[in-house]
Amino acid sequence: MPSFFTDGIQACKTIGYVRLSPDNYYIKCSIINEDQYPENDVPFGASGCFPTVINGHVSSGVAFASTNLAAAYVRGQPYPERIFHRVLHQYDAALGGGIMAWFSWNWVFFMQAVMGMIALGGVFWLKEPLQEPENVSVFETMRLYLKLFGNRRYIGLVLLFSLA
Amino acid sequence: MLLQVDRGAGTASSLMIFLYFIVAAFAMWFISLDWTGTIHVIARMAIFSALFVLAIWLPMVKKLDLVL
Repeated sequence: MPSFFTDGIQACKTIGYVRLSPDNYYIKCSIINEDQYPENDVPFGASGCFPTVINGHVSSGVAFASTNLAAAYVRGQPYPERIFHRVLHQYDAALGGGIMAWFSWNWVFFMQAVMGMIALGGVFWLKEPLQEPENVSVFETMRLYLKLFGNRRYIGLVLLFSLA
Repeated sequence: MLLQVDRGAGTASSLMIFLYFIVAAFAMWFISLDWTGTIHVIARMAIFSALFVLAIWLPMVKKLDLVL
């Protein structure tokens, strides 16, 4: 059985192209100098290392895309934009890791601020779909929460997507 | 997911995010255990969870009569 990411520390230091050989599945790159990080440093954040991020998110992307394909099959309608969005969405952590490696961790927050402003600007262009806002009391809201826990379809889907 | 509720979409949305974070917290606890090969465990978890969701998706749609 081939060993995945046998040299984890080495893999953490390098990104760029996937090296496929019987014994090595990690990703190497020429962008990051391998001497840039100390031996036990992990430049790609809490996810461990870049190959793990790629591996995990590609798997999740395939799962999301598959669920959307299955949903499209059941509905009889294709949703290519949703599938495209789901797959692309899996690379945000990898992009964040790249920003951390190429610039610094501070830039992640700067980028978040920029993206937040762009999203906020986009919200103003959207039409409000809720024509008659619900006037729900705090007590009623708590009752809705309890009711949701009894909704098998809702809870099942939420847990399934959480796992995915 | 929000199609599964007839009213209180905002409540359902907030509970959905809450449950996402709970599952994520559980996953962080799990990976923080004293594993000998943490990277391997993460990779296997990713593969297992993807395959698990793939395996039960269609049966679940029929079993729960999901509104899609």
